[in-house]
Amino acid sequence: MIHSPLLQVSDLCVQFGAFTAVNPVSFDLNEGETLGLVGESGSGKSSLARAILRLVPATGVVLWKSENILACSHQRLRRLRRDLSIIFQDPLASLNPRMQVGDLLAEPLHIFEPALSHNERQRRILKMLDRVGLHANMLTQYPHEFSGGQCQRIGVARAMMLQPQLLVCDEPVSSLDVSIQGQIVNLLVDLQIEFNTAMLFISHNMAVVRHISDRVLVMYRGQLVESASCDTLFAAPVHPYTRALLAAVPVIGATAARPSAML
Amino acid sequence: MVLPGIWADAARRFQSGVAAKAGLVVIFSLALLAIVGPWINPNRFDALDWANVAVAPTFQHAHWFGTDRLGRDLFVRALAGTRASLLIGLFASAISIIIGISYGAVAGYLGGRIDNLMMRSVEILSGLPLVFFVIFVTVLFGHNPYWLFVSIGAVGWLTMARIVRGQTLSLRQREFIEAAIASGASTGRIIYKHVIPNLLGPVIVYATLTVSQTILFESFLSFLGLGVQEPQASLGTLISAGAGEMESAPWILMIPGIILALLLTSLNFLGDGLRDALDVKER
Repeated sequence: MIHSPLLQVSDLCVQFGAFTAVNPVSFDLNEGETLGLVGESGSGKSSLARAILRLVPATGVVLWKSENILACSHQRLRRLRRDLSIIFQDPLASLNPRMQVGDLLAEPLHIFEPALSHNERQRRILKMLDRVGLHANMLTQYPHEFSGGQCQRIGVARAMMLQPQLLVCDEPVSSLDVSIQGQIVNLLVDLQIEFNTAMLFISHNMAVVRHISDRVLVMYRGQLVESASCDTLFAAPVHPYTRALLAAVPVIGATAARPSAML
Repeated sequence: MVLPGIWADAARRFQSGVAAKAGLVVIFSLALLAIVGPWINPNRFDALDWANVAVAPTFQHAHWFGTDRLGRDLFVRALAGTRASLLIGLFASAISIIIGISYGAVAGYLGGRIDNLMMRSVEILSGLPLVFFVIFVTVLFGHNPYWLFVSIGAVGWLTMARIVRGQTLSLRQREFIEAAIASGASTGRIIYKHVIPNLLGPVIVYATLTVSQTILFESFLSFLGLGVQEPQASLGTLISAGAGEMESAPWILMIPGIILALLLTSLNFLGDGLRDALDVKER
């Protein structure tokens, strides 16, 4: 069964003035697949994610079901955004502080399904709210009344409201504490399986990436240095940077005998 | 459902400020008096009482605040003046809110060449000396309070547009705007639903300041003879008339002067209180 990938990125570059955040980068993403993207801070992971969704100016080709996201009209792009979703690193900052949770979740429905009746909209919001583990009485609360983990649940609920086919997660758990990280990651995986969503998961947490990814991309200074299936990458990293990255993961109970790889 | 929670929060913090609450009470009582004034005093604002010219405040003939040089009752005139001044102030801040917010938010959000064009136009308009502009309008269209409203309104929104644009520029960098773009919201929707509600704090504060600035400006114009015309009264014309009688009949100056001072002080306290109440950092 051969079908063309959902998302084909080729020669994607992101420039901020004289600074090149992403050098030509190419990769594919298949339906329902989870692609991990790792690299140190400033390696261009977030820029890459935003460029795919055309949130920052970029050059190259991003084919979404054989349609170039970077070249289509603004009208068309807005239509396409129905199937493209993103979750941000800072859960509180990505929620409008003057909107109640109910309004935040209603927004995707207002934009893409304006014909929906009020009752039907409420029903879908409540269903999604329940799905991400929040209570119905939180509908009229404001983002600042929630903890970081709860805010990220709201962010997840908003992103999954229209059952997108691609979900870009830009370090969705980096700002949360460890016990919450697991809950959010599991929630994402559950929803992904339920909706058959392809996921680009950006993180610098190797354990999380290893846990959820089918394939992993490694970025270093704006370039892809390695791309391999999850098992291969963690078992036998090829590029020295990947090895350095893996060696940098602290191991509980490790002694001085750890292999030290550095660039 | 427009922001009840945020407002409830703000209302609670506002109530804890004594000065702001007192300001609000004073403004409300003055406004109420200005509205019901003509009914609680038998005198008319333009009726001449030749038997009682320039009398000091007295209970005779219900001249509670005395009369001016022409025997007109000062209580009624002062309240009529308050009404005119408040009306002009509210009108100007309504204009500055409506035009200023939409203009500034559009310029700030769209940015680039459009922003440049829009803000340079604002600078050209604000480069015009205001008094010159008002004189120009008065000469062209004659003395008419409506034209006074129009000319004050025409320039009153400029500062608001700048404030709003500046706030919008920094809002535009926030992640929730990026989230709105990513969710497919149209530009109009982003400005209306995401940018403007987050501007309301500074906008409301500046709007209360606009009221007092406009009242002061109208008083100044009336003092020069460009504002409200006799026999109509505004606080400015009353003060202007009173200034000439300062030594012989000080109450003619004192009464409108005290009302103006009370009004301006209360408005400033109210603005301060609102700023504190709506400040997100204090949450």
